[in-house]
Amino acid sequence: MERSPLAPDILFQLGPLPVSRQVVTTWAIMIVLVALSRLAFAGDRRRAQGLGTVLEIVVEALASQVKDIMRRNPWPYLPLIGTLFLFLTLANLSALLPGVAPPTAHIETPAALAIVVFFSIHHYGIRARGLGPYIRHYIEPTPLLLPLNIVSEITRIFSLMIRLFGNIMSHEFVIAIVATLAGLLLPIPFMLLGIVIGIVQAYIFTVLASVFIGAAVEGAEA
Amino acid sequence: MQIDWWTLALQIVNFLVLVWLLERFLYRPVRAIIEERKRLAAHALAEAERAKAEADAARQRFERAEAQLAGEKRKALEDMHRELENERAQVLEEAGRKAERLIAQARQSIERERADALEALRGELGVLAADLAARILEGADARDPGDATLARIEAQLNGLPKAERGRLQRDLSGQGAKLTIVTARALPARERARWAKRLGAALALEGEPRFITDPAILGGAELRFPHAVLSFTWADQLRRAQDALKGGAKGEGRDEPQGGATPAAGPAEMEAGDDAAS
Repeated sequence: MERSPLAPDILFQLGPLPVSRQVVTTWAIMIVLVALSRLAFAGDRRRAQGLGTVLEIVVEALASQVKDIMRRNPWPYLPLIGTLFLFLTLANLSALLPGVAPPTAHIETPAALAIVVFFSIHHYGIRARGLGPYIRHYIEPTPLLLPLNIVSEITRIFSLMIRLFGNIMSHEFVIAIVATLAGLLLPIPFMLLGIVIGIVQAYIFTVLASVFIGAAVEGAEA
Repeated sequence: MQIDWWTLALQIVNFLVLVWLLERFLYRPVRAIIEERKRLAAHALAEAERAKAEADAARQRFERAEAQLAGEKRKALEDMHRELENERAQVLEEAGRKAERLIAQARQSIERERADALEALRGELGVLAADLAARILEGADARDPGDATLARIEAQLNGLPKAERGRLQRDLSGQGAKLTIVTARALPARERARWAKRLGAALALEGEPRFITDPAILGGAELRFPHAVLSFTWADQLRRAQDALKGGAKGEGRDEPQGGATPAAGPAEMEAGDDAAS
């Protein structure tokens, strides 16, 4: 029986814990991001140059974007939202490296991120507005909207997950099919298109997460 | 499609760990850098504002000092102009005074020279006139003293104050003292007797007067006392006229030091003039 391409590719067992390829890739991305950060801001932090300047510009751009979306101080939300964008960008673009499969092409990684976003929305909402007012906003203006609101909460997170997974996975399939059918050089334009797709999908996921969190904390003091 | 729940859980944990790590190693340093830059920018802005305020204050101080200096300069110039005007006025006034003094001195000098010249001219005119008169009188008959001269002498003697006449009489009362009557020409004996009689009456003479001739007197007569002389001669009149031409009335009457007699020249001169004219 042929193995499904969507099934996790278990590389090794860590005790009872099966470690898949996407987890290893995620670890590699984590190591790269942390190493770059350490490298950029080691020593005198006020005199960051080169890489530090690039990272500073990226972080400032993210903070500015989050502020524009949420209309409030972005720094409490930036660790989650900024990490989402950086991780998704690197994860999506990792497909460009030979022999590396993007973690987001498997359902577990987008699902894990969507779950984190789902709980973060409620965490930030309750922290900003309080438990009672936050729960009450599901039955306003009428309790009849409660089922719809609950369904909306689940479906929007589900769509967030499926959008990312579908785009990246389908792109991987397209490249694999084209490479199988047309040889080595033809997939290159598709790979360039994959760069755009990867960055756009990371941006969309991040912006939607920001919008959801911003809606949850809306009405609270900025 | 199947989901590996272990992988899902690991990815959740992985992502949360990544969030924590990046918060620690990326976001926090960047935020610190941004905060520090904001603080430095605010500090620099404050410094710039302070420097600008100081510069404004310095500029205002400079403008005030400049205005003050300009005022002092203007005042100094005005003072200098005023002093120059005063000095100029003083110099002009001094020059005017000197010029007036010089003009006055020049006028005085001219006046003096004119007076000197006039006096010299008068002197020369007097000498010339006296010479002319003497020449005319030498050739005229007026050299003889007439009755008018005698009458005039008598009137003069009679008009003398008593003390003066007494002094003349005492002068003649001395031992050997005689009255000498000088004429230009010798008088005839009859004339001599008449003169002796009338003068002896006027002076209460005891002896006879002595008669001598002196052509130098030109005309008229002269009474010589031991210590005084009464002159009624043309020569004396001419000398007086000459003196009068020279300097006015100086030498009016010949004051002999011996007698102190003061003969009245005016009438004698007139008498002599009348005689000369006749």
